[in-house]
Amino acid sequence: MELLNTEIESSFDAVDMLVRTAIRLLEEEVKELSQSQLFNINFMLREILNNAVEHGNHFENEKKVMCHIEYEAHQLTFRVRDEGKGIHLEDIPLMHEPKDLLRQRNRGHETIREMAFEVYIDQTEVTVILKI
Amino acid sequence: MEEQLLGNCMRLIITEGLTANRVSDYTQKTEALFASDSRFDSVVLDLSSTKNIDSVGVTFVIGLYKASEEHNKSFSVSGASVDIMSLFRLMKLDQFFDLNE
Repeated sequence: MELLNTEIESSFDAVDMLVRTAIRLLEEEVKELSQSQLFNINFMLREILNNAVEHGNHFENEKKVMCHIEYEAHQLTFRVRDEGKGIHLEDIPLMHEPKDLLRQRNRGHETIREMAFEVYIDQTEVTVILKI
Repeated sequence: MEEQLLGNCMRLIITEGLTANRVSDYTQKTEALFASDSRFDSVVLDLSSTKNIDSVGVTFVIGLYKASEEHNKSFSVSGASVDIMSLFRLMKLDQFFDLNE
C-alpha cells in the first residue's frame, strides 16, 4: 500500500512540513506502530531528507527531493531521491572513536542504523526499511 | 525559543522543533546570550514542549554544552521525552551532561 508519493523543494522548512505530514499519515494508517517507532521514523526521515536537500541538491530551488513511503507485509519502505551527483555508502563514516562523541557532523546515519533501520544507498536514492 | 532567567539559572525553552529549519535562529540567540549576559552560571535546556528533533538539533545541543563549558557555566537538559532521552543515551551524550525529567 502506497502511503505517500510526493516531491518537495530543497529547503529545511519543506522537510519539516513533509515529515509532519508523513508522521500523521503513519499514525492513521499503520496502527501497530508504537510511539517510540514513530519517533525513530520522524528522526530518520528528517535525516535522509535533510541530507538530500543540503548535500544532494545544495538547496538549489530548481532541484526537488522525491519521497515515497510504502507499507507491505509488516514492512515500511521509505525512498528518498535527490537530483545531486550521488554518494556511495562507503563515503559515509560509520564508526567513530569514543573521543568523537561530541563531533559536529556525521552522526545521523550511524544513529539510524542503531535504531534498527536497514539503509541502502544507490547514488542519489536512499532506501530505508523498517520491519514492524 | 524563550529565555527565562531564574536566579542564576538561564532556562532556554524550546517551543518549536529542535530541527534543522529552526536551529540557525536558536544558535544566533544563544551566541548573543553568551556574548552579552554573564548574570547566570547555569544553563538549562527545557525540551518539555519538543517532539521533533533531528541530528542538526542534536548538534545544537552539543554546541550549547560546549559553549557553557567554555564560559564556566553548568549545563543540563530538562523535560525531554522518553524518546529524546533514549536518543541522547544512544548517542552516549548522557556522559557529558545531565538529563533531568
